[in-house]
Amino acid sequence: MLNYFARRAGIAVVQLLGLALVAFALIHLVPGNPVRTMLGARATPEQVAAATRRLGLDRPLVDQFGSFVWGLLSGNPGQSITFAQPIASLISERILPSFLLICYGLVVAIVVGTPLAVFSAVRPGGAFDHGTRLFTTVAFAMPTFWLGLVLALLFGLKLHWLPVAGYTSGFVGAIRSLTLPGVVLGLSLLVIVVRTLRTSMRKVLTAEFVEAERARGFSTFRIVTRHVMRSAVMPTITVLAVNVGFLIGGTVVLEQVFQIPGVGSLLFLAVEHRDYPVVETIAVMAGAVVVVLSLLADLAQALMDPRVRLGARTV
Amino acid sequence: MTVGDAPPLFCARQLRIAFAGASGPVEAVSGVSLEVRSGEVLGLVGESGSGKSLTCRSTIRLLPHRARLTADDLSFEGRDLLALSDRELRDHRARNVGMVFQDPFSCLDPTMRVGEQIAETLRVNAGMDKSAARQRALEMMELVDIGQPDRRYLAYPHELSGGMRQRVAIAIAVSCRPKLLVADEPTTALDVTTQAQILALLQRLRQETGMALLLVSHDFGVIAQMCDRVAVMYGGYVVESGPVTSVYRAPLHPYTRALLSAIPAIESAGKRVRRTGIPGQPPGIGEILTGCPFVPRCTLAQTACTTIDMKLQEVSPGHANACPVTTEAANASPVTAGDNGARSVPPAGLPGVNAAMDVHHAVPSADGAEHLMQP
Amino acid sequence: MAPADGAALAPRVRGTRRFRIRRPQVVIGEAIVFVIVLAAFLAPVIAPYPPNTVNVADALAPPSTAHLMGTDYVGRDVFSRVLYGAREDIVVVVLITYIGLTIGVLVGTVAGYFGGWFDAIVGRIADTAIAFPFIVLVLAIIAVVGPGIEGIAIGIIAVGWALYARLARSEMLSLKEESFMLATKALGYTHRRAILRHALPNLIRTCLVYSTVDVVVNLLVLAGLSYLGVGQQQPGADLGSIIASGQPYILTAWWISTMPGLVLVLFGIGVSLIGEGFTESELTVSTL
Repeated sequence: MLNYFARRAGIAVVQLLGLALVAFALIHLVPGNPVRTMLGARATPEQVAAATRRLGLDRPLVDQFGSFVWGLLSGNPGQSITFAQPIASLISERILPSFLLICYGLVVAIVVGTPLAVFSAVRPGGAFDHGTRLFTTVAFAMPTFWLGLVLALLFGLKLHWLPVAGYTSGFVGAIRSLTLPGVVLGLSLLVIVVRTLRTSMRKVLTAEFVEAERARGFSTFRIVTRHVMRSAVMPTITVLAVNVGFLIGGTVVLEQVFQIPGVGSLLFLAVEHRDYPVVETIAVMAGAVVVVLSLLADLAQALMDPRVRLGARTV
Repeated sequence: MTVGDAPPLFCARQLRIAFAGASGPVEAVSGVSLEVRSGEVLGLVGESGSGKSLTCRSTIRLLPHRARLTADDLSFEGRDLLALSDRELRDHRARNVGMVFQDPFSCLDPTMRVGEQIAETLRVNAGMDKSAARQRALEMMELVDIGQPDRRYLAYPHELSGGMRQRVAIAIAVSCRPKLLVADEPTTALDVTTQAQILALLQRLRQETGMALLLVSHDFGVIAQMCDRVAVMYGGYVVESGPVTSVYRAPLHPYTRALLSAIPAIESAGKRVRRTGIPGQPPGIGEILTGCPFVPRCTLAQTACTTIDMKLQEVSPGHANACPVTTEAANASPVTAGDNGARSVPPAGLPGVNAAMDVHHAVPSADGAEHLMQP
Repeated sequence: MAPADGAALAPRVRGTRRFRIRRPQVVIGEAIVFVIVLAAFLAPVIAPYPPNTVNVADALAPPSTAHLMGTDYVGRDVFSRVLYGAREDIVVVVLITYIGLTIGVLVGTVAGYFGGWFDAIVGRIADTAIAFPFIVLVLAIIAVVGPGIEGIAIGIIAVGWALYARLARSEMLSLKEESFMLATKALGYTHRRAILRHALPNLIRTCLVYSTVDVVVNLLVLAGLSYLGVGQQQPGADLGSIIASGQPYILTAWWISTMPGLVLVLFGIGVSLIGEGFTESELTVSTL
């Protein structure tokens, strides 16, 4: 078990380093001078040289990578160019709405998806199963930004139930302003929740122990809730953890649609202004969230599932 | 034994189980009639695919989703099983019939401690509270010879050996004192020594509780050792049935004869040597055959066999045969069926089986006592 | 087909004899995709107006027989723009998806076949690429190369190949144990022949089935980024940017944003239905 933990954590560390390396290489190794692109065509060579020195881009690459990684680890990834503020404080100001939005989306996807998956797994090929399949297929094909617009038009502009844009802090304010984007985000993830849970439930439901429990006279309700879900939930959680990346991508778009001042819209602003340090930091952070969550999911599965033993799973 | 008078515990008449196939329904069980009487041990023997598993599962109507079951009569203690509501059916499964499956590796929930699985059954089906169920589960584990029940209670299925798991499965099956225990190839997945222990355990539990046992096996040796009566299945039909001594000593149906000549010669040595196999393959599900399904492999087959109705005909009291060719021969012969059949089967050389049968017949088969099962 | 080819050993595609049940949903999916693709490619023929011709007098006209999907804020015909936009999106998405598939399948197959250090390195790189939230990586690339389709394409391929590499690798690992692959070794085939002629045809199917999901995801990412303004630049139009251009008028002229969105949704549903038909008929047959 410990062996497995160590190996799995080792992979995560390599992944994290890889993330940092990719983000760093993107900005520093891509042909063309990022400082020139940043300052625009009319910048004088002197201005370019000064900016290069100010950003530390004249130092050896290994040095730069070292301080980049150290900055990330120490929680002080440096200064934003456009906002003239430390990146750490920029991000911490905006992290809460993004975090809440992701949680909202997850909750919607799980709360809506679980019953859909359970009922369609119990009666495969039935009307409910087909209906669910159709619904999730449509939800999956829906572009989030477009669905967001349509819902905003309907619930915001026509019915005046919910705000169309912006973010209000405080519990009620946050819930109200995040409901539309949260629902849209949840729907886009729905298909993953339903498919994974349905598939792993089908696998468990056709296992012989389920038949043995039927033979004991247990009700379908008991078999599903007490036995099948125990085995079927963990794989779904693992898949969800990996797909948090998908959610993060969704928030970047939805924060734009609904003008929510989160990390996603910060990333977007930074891209527009070519604020490389901010882009790098957010990219690594977002990747790190995915890496860490899927690490945790795998470890949790190993701990909870009595069958996973030494090296039984590879990542 | 005047068995005929006792009302049957389980009764199936003209039981048919069919699956929807690409071109119309495909019958896996074609008009089987069976009775299990209170306290008796009925063996159901046949190759895989003969329909014996489906037949035994019809006792609790536990069939795959796509299976369609029809029967002139399917009843338990006179109650029509086909008329039960979902709730009544669950109740029937919970109280009346216990079931042990072939594969002890997969018939327990892998994520739950085995003791809790026994206790859960007691809580749900016998309405016990938590601590009583736990107490009783520990007793059950002791009853099925699981050593150190306190420690094993907390084990997960994968931490136990196959034999231990099968004991747990048996403990679950008998925990609510069923009137009928159905054991579907309970020893097939186990090694030989464990097989003997599990069979001995089933035998003991049966004697202590007086429950009836429907034992399914492809191994005539096991059946001969354990059962009062036997029904031989082939291709969805019962081809021969009768008291195990009679069928064993004087098998009539060519399939039964072939099956008997395939019994290992030396049972006690633990090493199994096939004497002769039965040439050919059993019919696959979906192969449409008219008449007797054994025709392609039968040495006595005649043209008429491909058109006969598969009907059991009584040859001697309780002993029925579906093969008209051998039935005729038996009836024509002046000697008793028993002597007649003995010639067609290797007469001697089965000491293990004979000894086992003698031991078994020294024991009164049904007394209805449940003394050891009392809490 | 000479027997020396070893074709007799290899089930060319795993289950060539597998009959596929044509489900109605697949037929519907194919019909939707066929109609949209056909209309998109015939855009120059079908489109009633040039996509970028401004006609302010006719601005914000609701859908009518003259303008099937109405006109936008400078009087451009939305239907014509949607046709051209769909063509643009479909071409780009198909290109980037299948470039990614080709790279990924080749790399993954080779990695799975040989194993060793190459496999280990490919595996780690793929893990890293997959860990990046898709859109975040694409945005980072756009920050470097500037807005436009190029950045999006690079970004999507940079992540997309890794998914196929993983898939192809794991398929290859199980294929390696199968007798016909072992036979290619025994017969002394070159690695190249063993991989290209015998392994690839068998594992490509899984990857193609997966690509139906991928096409939809990529289409949504492409449209999303265009909507955000970092994709196709004005006056060129793709579906995402048309939707964005209609957003300020959503109350008065709902059709500008709604119509192209519907086309996107329909196309996505069509592709998903086809993909599902694949996986389902495969599942039903293999479990029987």
